[in-house]
Amino acid sequence: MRKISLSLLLVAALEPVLADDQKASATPLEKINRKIAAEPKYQSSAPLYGLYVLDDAHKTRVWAVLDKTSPDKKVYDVLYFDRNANGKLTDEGERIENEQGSFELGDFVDPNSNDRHTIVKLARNNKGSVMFGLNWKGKHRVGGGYPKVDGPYTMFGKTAAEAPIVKMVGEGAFAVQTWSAPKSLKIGNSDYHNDIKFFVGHAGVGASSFSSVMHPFLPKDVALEATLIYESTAGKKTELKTKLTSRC
Amino acid sequence: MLYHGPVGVADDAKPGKAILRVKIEPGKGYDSKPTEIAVLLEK
Repeated sequence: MRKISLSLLLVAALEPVLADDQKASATPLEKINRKIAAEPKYQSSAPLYGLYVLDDAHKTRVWAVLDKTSPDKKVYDVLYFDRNANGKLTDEGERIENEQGSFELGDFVDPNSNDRHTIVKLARNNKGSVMFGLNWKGKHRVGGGYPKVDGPYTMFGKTAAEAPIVKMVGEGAFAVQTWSAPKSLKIGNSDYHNDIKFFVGHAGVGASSFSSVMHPFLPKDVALEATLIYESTAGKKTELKTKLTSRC
Repeated sequence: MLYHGPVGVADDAKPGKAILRVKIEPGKGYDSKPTEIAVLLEK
């Protein structure tokens, strides 16, 4: 679990790059349909729910529900994954077992776009946090969800209504989220003490729902621009721009 | 992948609260609405 000494985050959605008709029809994540059309009979008394959105128009919704092979198991060793994004968890091949709770899901073909995302994986650790990842269109890896402040990765909900929503998209209108920052910035300083690290990705819904593009998908000549807005000792509102050009 | 760097703070900055506005740099083909975060400036 990472440590952040100062809670800095506000995540803002970036200006969309959807076509006009897609902009008009992209339902806000908070309002998308959470109905699951068909669910299996779960063995666990407490299945855990997470919802992944795999397109920028918010049409491709993929439910993931964790279950157990028997009620007395400690580990959630069964995953129901909506492989065809039809809202049902009862189709063939949608029940996957792994005794460590780490599920290799192969490829996912988006039924709305025919885009093929590869190396799809979901893993839940022994503290209950879930990390989901895929190679977007077979290219750069997207992973999530990350917390806004110090805390675990995505924690699935006890019901579909409580499920966090993680937008696992490797293009479109990106948001920025802080990963780490010092407690304060030093005046008269522009060295490592004032270093702040950011993700670039997409905001979701619920705690620990930010997804990050893991690979260096931005060209090398594209940086983050940070504008510090402060009051000078002369009482004047001042702005100072810095380019954040490093990557790690 | 994390994007990072030292944020410059000028000598004439007054200690206390400030705002940091972050976005993908303009003019590179990535339109963005900036994210604003609160920061603390100290000597």
